[in-house]
Amino acid sequence: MHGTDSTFAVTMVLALALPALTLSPGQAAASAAARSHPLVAGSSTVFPFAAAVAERQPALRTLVVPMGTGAGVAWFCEGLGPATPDIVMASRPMVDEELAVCASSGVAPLERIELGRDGIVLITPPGSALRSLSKTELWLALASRVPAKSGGEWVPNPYRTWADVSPGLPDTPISVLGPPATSGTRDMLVKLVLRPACEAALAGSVNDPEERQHCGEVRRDGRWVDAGENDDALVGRVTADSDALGVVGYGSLVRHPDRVAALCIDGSCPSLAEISTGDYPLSRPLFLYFKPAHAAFVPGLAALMSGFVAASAGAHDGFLAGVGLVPVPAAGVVTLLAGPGPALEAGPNTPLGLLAGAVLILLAVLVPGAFLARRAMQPRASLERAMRAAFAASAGVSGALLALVLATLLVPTIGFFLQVAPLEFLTGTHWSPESAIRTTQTIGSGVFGVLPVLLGSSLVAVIALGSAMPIALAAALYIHAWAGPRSRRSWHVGTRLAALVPTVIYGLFAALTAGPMVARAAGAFGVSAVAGSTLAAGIVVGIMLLPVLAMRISEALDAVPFAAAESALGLGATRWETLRDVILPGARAGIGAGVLLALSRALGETMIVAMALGLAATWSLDVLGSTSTLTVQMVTLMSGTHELDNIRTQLPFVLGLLLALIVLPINVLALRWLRSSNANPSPVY
Amino acid sequence: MRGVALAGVWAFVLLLAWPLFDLLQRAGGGLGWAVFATPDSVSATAAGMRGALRTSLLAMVPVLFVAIPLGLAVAIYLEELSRGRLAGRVVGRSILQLAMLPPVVFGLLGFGGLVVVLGMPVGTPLLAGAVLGLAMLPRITLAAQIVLRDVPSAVRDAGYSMGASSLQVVAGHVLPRAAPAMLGASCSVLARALGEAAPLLMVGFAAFAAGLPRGLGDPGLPLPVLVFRWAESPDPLFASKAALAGLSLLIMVMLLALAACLLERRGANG
Repeated sequence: MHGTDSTFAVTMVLALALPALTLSPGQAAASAAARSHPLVAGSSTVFPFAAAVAERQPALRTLVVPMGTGAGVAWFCEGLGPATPDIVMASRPMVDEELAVCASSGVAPLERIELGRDGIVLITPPGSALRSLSKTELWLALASRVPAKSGGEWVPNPYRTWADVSPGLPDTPISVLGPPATSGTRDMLVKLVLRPACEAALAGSVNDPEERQHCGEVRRDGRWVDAGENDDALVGRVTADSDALGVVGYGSLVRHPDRVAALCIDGSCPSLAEISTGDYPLSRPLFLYFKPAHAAFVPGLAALMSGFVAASAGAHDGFLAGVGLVPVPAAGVVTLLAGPGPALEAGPNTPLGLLAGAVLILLAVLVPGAFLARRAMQPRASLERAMRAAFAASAGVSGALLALVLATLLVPTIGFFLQVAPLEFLTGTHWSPESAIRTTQTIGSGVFGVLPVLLGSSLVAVIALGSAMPIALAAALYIHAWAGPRSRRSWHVGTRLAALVPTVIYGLFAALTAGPMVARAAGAFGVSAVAGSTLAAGIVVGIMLLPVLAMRISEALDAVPFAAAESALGLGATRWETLRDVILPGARAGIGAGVLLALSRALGETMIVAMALGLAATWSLDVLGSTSTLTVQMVTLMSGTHELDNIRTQLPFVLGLLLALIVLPINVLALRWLRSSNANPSPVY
Repeated sequence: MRGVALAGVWAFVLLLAWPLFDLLQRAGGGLGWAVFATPDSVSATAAGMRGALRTSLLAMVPVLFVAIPLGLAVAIYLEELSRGRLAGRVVGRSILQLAMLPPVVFGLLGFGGLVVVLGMPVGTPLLAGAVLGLAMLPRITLAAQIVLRDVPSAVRDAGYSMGASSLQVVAGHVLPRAAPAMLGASCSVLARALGEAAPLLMVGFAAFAAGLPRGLGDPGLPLPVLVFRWAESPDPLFASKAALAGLSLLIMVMLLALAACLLERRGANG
């Protein structure tokens, strides 16, 4: 009897200790599982070009991950080995700080090619009144601090409309969707526009060193929205919002010529000719950085690299120009860090192998053991012991895995709160989370007041429950009181099936149909609503909740003793009176539990809101406007770099823990009510 | 009141049918069968879902052969073998809570634990299956526990009174009786895992994978993630292809869910 307990404990400790073995610095990258396909990561502007080249060599099975130049370079420079990318896409040159990191982690040789040129393009929906801007006007509209109109003092950016910035511009609100801190486009916008304009303005006035430090920072009052690492998705967001201005690469303009129009900057409009000559003021080169040493374990890397070199030279019938790359004369390969670098061997991944081996051995004992035990006429002590141990060990393994959930959420969270005051985080009403991912980046410090995000999550959940509850309750009551046995059975099966519909399907529906429909409906009443409104997302989450909610309510109603209903009916009560006075009061706890479980599901819903909602978390109750939820922020802020040592990369974990801590008490209460309701709950997966 | 309640039923059915008809309408744009035969592409005209279908099926391998058996074993341990032990109570409680956590949280565990610490290769069916398996482990355990609790204790008592050991009672009496319902629960979990995208977005599946995966270690995007990626594009052709991919996903999930229902009914009859 004592044996199983100790097996459980030993397995749990072992399973917990295994990953911890790799936590020693430098070890994690080296121990990665072998990889034989090329891995390309980085700039989302270069992404379509890299994907187009990768697609032409399908046998290489290249994986291209858009995560932003900054995040991509950080991952790339973690070292050599299968856990890091072979090629990083960059929409700006690597800065000295990054090269130094690469050099210190032994990334050598390091080579670079210029893939082509690109221009940072400011796009609007086609009908927009805004047609052109000067660099100074753009800076005045985007900067965090500008000189006051009256002269002298610098103040936080007061401009709300373009006409405020300059009288010649249209009187529409400033609303800019741009790339986040991980992006090279963002860095180049700072370098080409914000910093020079700011420094030029400073040169004329008092030369204040503190003001100079803030040069290049983007305003954080909600007029600039960090719109994630996907240029094409950003085009979609701009077309859905008549006032929006989007910051993307020139390629997006080429790929979607009729959907958006581009602004002219300083009188020069983005075009192939203007960008290739460099006359367009926001033009910039696009680079690829290679690790030739990775060819040791990625057989196809050489072929992919020559594919890129040929494509950059336009040798591939210029297909990259078709997706919007501005070609440059071939400049060849530049070697940045020379040297042989450390010898690479793609050794086996020990901890992963051990863990997998342990689980497989467990299963190899359990499955045949169950058959043996069934056949055995007499209990056999050895089999008995082995099986008990295996069962206990599987509980130990899963216990350990689940303890890891807490650990992975807790460790980055502790790191985060060493830098951000918890009270400020929990009570602040301003959410502007972008913060620098390296020390020399001009982003400014993030503002982490999580209340607007919580408000967004709650608004969506309240709208969802508010719209789903009456319908689910009415339907469940009908089925309980009036439906015959056949419709009861199909109701039971139907709700079971509907509860399993993947949420990405509702998300698709919300993004393509429900969002625009709510905006049109609001327009018909003379109210303006954005396509990704809180109301639309809430309603679709409500539709998603219907089957789960109805199932729980049905179960709660069925749990009320039949005799109670029978005696009420026997005393002459109508069916409705019986429902109202006997069944509903009896089912109260069960229905309450169902509502709570639906609430926690709505709070954790990710796909629908990620596809249907905006990205800016605003401290407002306007359900026709845009909002953001905990889950959307988690998805958007997840940058994919492996170094979880700065606020930017820790933030999704903090939000995840917060979400878990919010749904936990709701679920505990729901379970308590469920137990007291005497219902026989079926699991919802 | 009957009328109001009946209206509720109709509203319920129509609201759930609406997204389905919307998808059917969007996917009906004469896309042809080539969509099912080609890998993903940057160009909307060439993009297909064959790689994603393969990835989704491959990702089910770890879920089916590791997570589900492990989850069932844990449920058997908790319900039949650990009676009242502290370890069993602690694990049982935490599994109950973890089964109700939003799946997106398991994406963070997948990134922190599987990618960063254990070094699993990103963008592969292996990682997708492992993350989904983690997210489903508590759910399958919980579902199997509920099934085991439904087995009347008279069945166990009969076994014990004949001198069977607890393992013999489990293997010879409880499991045969619970097997159809447990299989049904496994099917439901598999259906859920097949359609799940949120945790995968957290571990770097919002990407592009060229070609078709041959095995668990080759890159690929699972079908629900492909639907998400295609839907993000402003190109209407990508939108209708996303609708078609969504429908294909829905059909696969519904087939699994139907199988689950049939198995469970068999369990209830037997």
